[in-house]
Amino acid sequence: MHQIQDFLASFRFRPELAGCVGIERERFLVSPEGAFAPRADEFLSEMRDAAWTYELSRCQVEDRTRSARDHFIVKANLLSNDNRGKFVAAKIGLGLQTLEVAPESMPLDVYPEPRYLAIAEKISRETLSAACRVAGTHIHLGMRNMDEAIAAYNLLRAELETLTRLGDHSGGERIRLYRAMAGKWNPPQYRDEQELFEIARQEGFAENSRNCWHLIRITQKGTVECRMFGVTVFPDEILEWVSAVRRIARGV
Amino acid sequence: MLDAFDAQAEDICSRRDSFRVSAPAVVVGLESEIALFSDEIEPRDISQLREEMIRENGELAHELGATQLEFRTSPVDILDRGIGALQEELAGKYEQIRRQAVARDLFILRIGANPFYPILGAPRTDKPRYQLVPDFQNVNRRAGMDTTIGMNGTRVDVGDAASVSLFQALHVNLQADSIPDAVDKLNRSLMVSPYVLAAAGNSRYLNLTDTGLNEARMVVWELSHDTRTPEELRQGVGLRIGLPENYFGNLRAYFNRMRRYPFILDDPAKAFGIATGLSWLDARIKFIGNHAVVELRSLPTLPTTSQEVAFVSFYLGRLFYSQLSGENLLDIAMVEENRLNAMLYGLQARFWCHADGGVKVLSGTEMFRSELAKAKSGLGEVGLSADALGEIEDWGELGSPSSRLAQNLSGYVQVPHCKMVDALWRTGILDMC
Repeated sequence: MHQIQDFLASFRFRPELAGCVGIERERFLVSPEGAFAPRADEFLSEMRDAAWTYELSRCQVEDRTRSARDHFIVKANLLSNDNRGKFVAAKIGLGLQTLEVAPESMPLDVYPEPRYLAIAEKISRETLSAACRVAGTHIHLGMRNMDEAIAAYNLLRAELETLTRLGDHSGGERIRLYRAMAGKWNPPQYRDEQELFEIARQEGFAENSRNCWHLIRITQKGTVECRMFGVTVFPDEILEWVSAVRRIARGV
Repeated sequence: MLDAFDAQAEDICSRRDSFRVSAPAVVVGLESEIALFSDEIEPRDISQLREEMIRENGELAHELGATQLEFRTSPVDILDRGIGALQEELAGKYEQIRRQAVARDLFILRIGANPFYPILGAPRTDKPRYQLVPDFQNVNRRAGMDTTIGMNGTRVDVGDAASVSLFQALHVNLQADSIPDAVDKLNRSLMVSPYVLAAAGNSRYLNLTDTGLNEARMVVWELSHDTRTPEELRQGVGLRIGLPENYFGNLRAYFNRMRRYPFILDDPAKAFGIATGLSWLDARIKFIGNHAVVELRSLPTLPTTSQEVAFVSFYLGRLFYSQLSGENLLDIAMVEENRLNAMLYGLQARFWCHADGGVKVLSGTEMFRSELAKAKSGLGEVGLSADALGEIEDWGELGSPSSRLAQNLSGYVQVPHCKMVDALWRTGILDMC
């Protein structure tokens, strides 16, 4: 992608979803004895629901809520995904474990998907282990357009440490491992679209925002995504994170 | 206050055998809340007329809202006298109030949330506890919370604990046979409440605005009263309102949860009563003399007394079915999902249910049919008539009062006052006496 116009055109902002929130949660599959189970493909095959998907680690699955403005609707969706997830996991003799950092001894099986297999080929075992062991909660906030996204991104970036502390349940271990795995984790300030494009090109995520490992990023789905939060079993705690993100992004 | 509470709770525990009921009976009492309404009279003057009505009729009591009234039936043994006796008493007392209202050119709103008054700064009864308690919640509500709700593109700010003054409910009080029975009834009531609530939703409009919710009352209550600290959220501490974090194992567990929350009011002699009064779970246990009573609090006021008795039958029948069949309690997280879906979407949602020997997700219509059938079975097992259920048998298809009101106001998000009055009258929610 050589031209800034092509780059900007790849972002699908939907003004009708501005201010709406979507949540992604990563969790581990475990056996009744607590052993980490590299059976994400089996879980997803049983689940048959687009709200669930795979991660790099074959021991992890991710659920997503639908975009919603009202936080009770978001909560209903979080509960629904939780209950469905536990139900389906139990059907195949597994459980869903909410854990920010899995032990070093966990299996390092990679989900059999070309992009993840290609990543795993290129990285060290240490980096693969860090990537497999961490789980987080990602909060997407819908944006009207790129100007709004950059403004919100910069406001959130200024509060990165505050938000990281808010969502930390592992004494900083999760973020330490993430930073070791991600390399370029620290979101830079963007003055404008031009600077965003230049950095995207330099860091290799101009074609695909999923190749950006910053803890805050502007996604091609037209959202600002906050990736610094750990995990929790309590939906009300996630909603408190959402409130914090909204408050900061609004400049209030 | 905590020491006084502990002493009074300990006294109840020490007398646990005195709450045992030996003779078979199903003793039920109802508490009904309504709001007075007039297009011609200012709320302040309606409040004065309310005072007159209370002085004239010893059966009436104040509620938080300045135009609200509460009245109660006596405890009725419906096993002995039939559910019809409960209906007769409820309807009879309501008829008296209607006559008083007519004499003062007032109408009666039979709705869960008064749609006419502003939410922020809603008019309250001028008594100390009705000032102190909401004010405490407002001062201590967690900073920075989003206190807006709305499902249809609109946002309504409900960030005032006094908004509860807009709400009316039907509370069902059922005498338990013993302390263990009270705890069991409490847990099962929490589990079945969403099934009953989904069809009973009657609280959709606030400040003449369509929130889109089937039953906004408890959603607003939770939001406006959320005084949890960020640390309490990390620990998964629940609210005084709605559902506890888990079912209660025994009475002490129930008391331990009650004592966690601030008493707000300072009167040690009444510490236990105050803690009970400030416990706004969907169901709670009360101790009245030598009786342990389980109170279901989740139902809104409904358009007619016969509909209310129908839902009372639904609740009781479903509760008895649950107890007599020994069905397992549903995972509390599933109950939480069911409850939220009942409030947000009513019968349009899907619900976790016991079905086909396991647990399944059913559509709202399927759920209503299946749970109503269980309720009929439960009533029959105990020796009670299921006739009252005929009043709501087709509500699975017709929808809740909220959905029917919304159909009448189709196309309006901001509703003109006159349109609201007309729609409320057409749907039987506004009793123009």
